[in-house]
Amino acid sequence: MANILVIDDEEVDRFIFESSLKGSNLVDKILSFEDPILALDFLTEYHEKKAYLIKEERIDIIFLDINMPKLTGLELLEKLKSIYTFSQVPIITLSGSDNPADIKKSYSLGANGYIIKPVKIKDYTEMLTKVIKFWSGVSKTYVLS
Amino acid sequence: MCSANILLIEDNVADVELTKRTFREVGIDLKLNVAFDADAGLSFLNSIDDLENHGPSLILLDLNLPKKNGLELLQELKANTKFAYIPVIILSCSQNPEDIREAYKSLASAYLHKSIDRKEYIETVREFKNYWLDTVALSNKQPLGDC
Repeated sequence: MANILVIDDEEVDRFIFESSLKGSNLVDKILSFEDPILALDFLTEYHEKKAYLIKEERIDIIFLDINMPKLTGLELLEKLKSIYTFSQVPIITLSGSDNPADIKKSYSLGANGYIIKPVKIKDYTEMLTKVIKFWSGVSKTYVLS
Repeated sequence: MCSANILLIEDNVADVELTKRTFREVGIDLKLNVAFDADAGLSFLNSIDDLENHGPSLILLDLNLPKKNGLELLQELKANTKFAYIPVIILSCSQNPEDIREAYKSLASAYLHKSIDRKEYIETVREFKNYWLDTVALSNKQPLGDC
């Protein structure tokens, strides 16, 4: 069971994201942030307090919307991947578009996947399930200490 | 079958054949280019005229390479704006936590274990296909969905 953190300024998109995973037996907890700066503050504290050592508090996958005001998803991705703790956590960028520049920039900054948000909840559920299954499987060789 | 354009950088001929066979078994129709060391991989990438449209969608990289090792090559690729956008997935026999940590720290997009157990390796390649070829977007290829 994975603990998921999602950062997306759009309330509707966060609702669809959370609804897509409602009842999923792959997910234990979903933490949701509207404001990327508050999310960065939370994650900085998480890193400093080594909260990942506590199983219940550990964040297994981060989903990050690209288009956000104040701090874009790509800026936040760059900040997070420069922190050792988050270099070891899968960060998946989310976007409504398949803009090649965003895709390239995401992978250049160390994204562990780029998802084009599906419109239908059913499709979103299917997509997120594949993402969580992949990272749950890979976590056999995925270590953080 | 899924189609994919992948650069495999792997020095062991037997491992290359094993990977090709396993990819066919899980239904990946590969356009696979193979480089047998880091410099050959870089030369291959430099030789492609329109890299962004005709270059590999992904690089699969072994860690244990002669001369320049896989980790050094990964760092070189990620430091070069010409190549940094290509997701690099480590495919290694090593399960040493230090190798895994260093690979992620150097911006590997994933780290997959090249198991000597046939069933395990097939399962790893299936997971790779489901995620990297069917689910996520890559810069010069959309997810193939129903493949």
